[in-house]
Amino acid sequence: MTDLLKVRDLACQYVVPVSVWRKPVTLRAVDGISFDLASGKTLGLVGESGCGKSTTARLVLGLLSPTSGSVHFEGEPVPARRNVRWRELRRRMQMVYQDPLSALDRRLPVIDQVAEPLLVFSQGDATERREKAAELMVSVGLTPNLFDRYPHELSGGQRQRVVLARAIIMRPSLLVCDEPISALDVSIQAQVINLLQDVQERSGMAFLFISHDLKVVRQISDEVAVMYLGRIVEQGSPEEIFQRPAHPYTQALVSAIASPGLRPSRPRMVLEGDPPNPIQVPSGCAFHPRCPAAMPLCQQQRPVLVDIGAGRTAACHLLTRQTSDNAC
Amino acid sequence: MSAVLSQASWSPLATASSAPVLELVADNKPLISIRGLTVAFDNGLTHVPVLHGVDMDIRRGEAVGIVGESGCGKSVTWLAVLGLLGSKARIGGSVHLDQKPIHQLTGDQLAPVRGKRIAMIFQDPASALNPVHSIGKQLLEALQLHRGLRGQAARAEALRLLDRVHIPNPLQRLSAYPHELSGGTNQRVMIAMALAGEPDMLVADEPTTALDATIQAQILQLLAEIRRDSQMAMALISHDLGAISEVSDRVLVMYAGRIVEQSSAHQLFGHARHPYTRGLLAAMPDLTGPRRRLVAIPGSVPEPGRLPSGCSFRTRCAQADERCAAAVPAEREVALSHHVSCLQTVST
Repeated sequence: MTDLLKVRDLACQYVVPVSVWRKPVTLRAVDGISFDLASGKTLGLVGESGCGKSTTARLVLGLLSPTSGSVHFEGEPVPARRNVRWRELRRRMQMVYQDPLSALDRRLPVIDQVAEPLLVFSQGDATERREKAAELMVSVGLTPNLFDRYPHELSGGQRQRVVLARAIIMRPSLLVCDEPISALDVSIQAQVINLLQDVQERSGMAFLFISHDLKVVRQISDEVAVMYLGRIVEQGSPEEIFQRPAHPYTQALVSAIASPGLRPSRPRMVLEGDPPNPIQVPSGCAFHPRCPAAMPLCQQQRPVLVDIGAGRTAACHLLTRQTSDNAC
Repeated sequence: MSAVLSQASWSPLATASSAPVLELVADNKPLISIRGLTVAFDNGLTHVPVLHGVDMDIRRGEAVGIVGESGCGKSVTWLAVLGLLGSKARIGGSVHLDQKPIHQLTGDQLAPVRGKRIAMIFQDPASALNPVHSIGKQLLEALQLHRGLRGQAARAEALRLLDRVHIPNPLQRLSAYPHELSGGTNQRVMIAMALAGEPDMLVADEPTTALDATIQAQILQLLAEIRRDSQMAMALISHDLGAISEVSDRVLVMYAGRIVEQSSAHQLFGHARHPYTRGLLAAMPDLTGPRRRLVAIPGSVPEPGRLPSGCSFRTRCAQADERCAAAVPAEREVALSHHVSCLQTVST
């Protein structure tokens, strides 16, 4: 089976002015990432702010044009320009944003907003569109008395259901979710996670699920990619990644998560320092200034993603050294 | 830049949640005692009640976690105690600090309490700091206000405080502005400013919510360390049960303006009794163990002013019956120091 989404060596750089007197610098938001996503599956992208998760989402949808690399969706390259073909592709790839209130039009009843994509793609007449929207809204758990309300009259969870209904009304094959539950309360988060899983089961939609919350990503993903400063540092199944993290950054990330009532079996690993500024990415491995196990090699040479077994890849010199030692 | 891994063992504070410490301080009079605290906001037409009588005692050196969803009153409680709610708020009930009433104090009379006795840090450090003054200036201001320090003495103390919260190169950081520092460093500066008055109590309102995961761990570790060294009482307000369980001796769960359950952290996370607390725990995905479908709490938090009669949680509660609609359930002790306000209290 061919992959629904194929991303190869994708990179995106911005030129940022520093001051009037100095030369602008290059910010590498995404620095050469590759991944595949099969239809009906979920890829979770995790990482801290500034690691390039959201830029990746925008590149995949063609909302930003990449500096280099390619995105293929259903076998076709995603055009870098917003032309007719791009609009045709966008019908089958939709997005859910973090803050539902700002993603909705405050002056339009929510049912009209759910029906709007049908209008944009000229499908059916007004009655049919409304019927279809109503049917879908019921299926995501919205009751008919809410249909003609305005976004501010709904709760956060209800608004996110509206955004989701609007995103899936065109029956897309890919849904990009950028922190879809971060703005919601704990009790509502579970409702939306369950709803997303139900929608996927019913429609066979693939999700590119972006979040900083490792627990949520584990709950929903078939595959997880951990990003650090624009690059994927480790990728594999959620069980492998969170039970036996291989990359020191993933280890720190997993170790930083506090679970109520659970005392960790290992001593906790707390990283020193902040993630570096993406304008001044450290030489070699970008993680080496914060890495507890950094070696001289890490400052000089950038590690590449290598297969470390069990369908997992990681970019770390420690891991390649171990395997080459074993080979000797 | 050196890469240091602090292999600190599991927070000693977290283990302090066991009984001996509680017994040790049990005969002390509470540092702060809140009784029947109510808050209602004037919306122009009517007064909308948001806090319906909160009772809370916090002893010296005790760390209390306050957990609940947005709008449950966890922040409003402390803003009311410190008189920071403004003129639209109507506040009732009593607050005693070291047996002295502070609820009658208004405006400037409360100034010696704020920062000096009870300090508070907020979710977004960048907006809590003044963007047009260097952090050194803001720290010196706090030191002069609370401790009357000036000149070299104040500067030395400011450096000591920045070092205390583990900010590298404190001397250079004194002249930095908030926008030049990362979110984590700004939160450290806020903590340093809170420590400037050597307060008896620190109220941390969602101190890690706006920060990245690895930085959250750093800040929680710092708060635990400061509390261990200074014996300062702490109220940690958060919606993150993980963060709460890490730093707290005791946990209060709030829902729709009331405390619905309270007990030691250990007891609460192992043997929660209120359906809401149990619901919150079941709704959280986990990082370990088998993946299961999450059990969501149906519906959403009722709006203030439109609460159902009786127990506010009954419309979302699977165990509710007609008794729950009759009256607000009274608090009762179900185990040693474990109080629940529920008629249906589930046995464990």
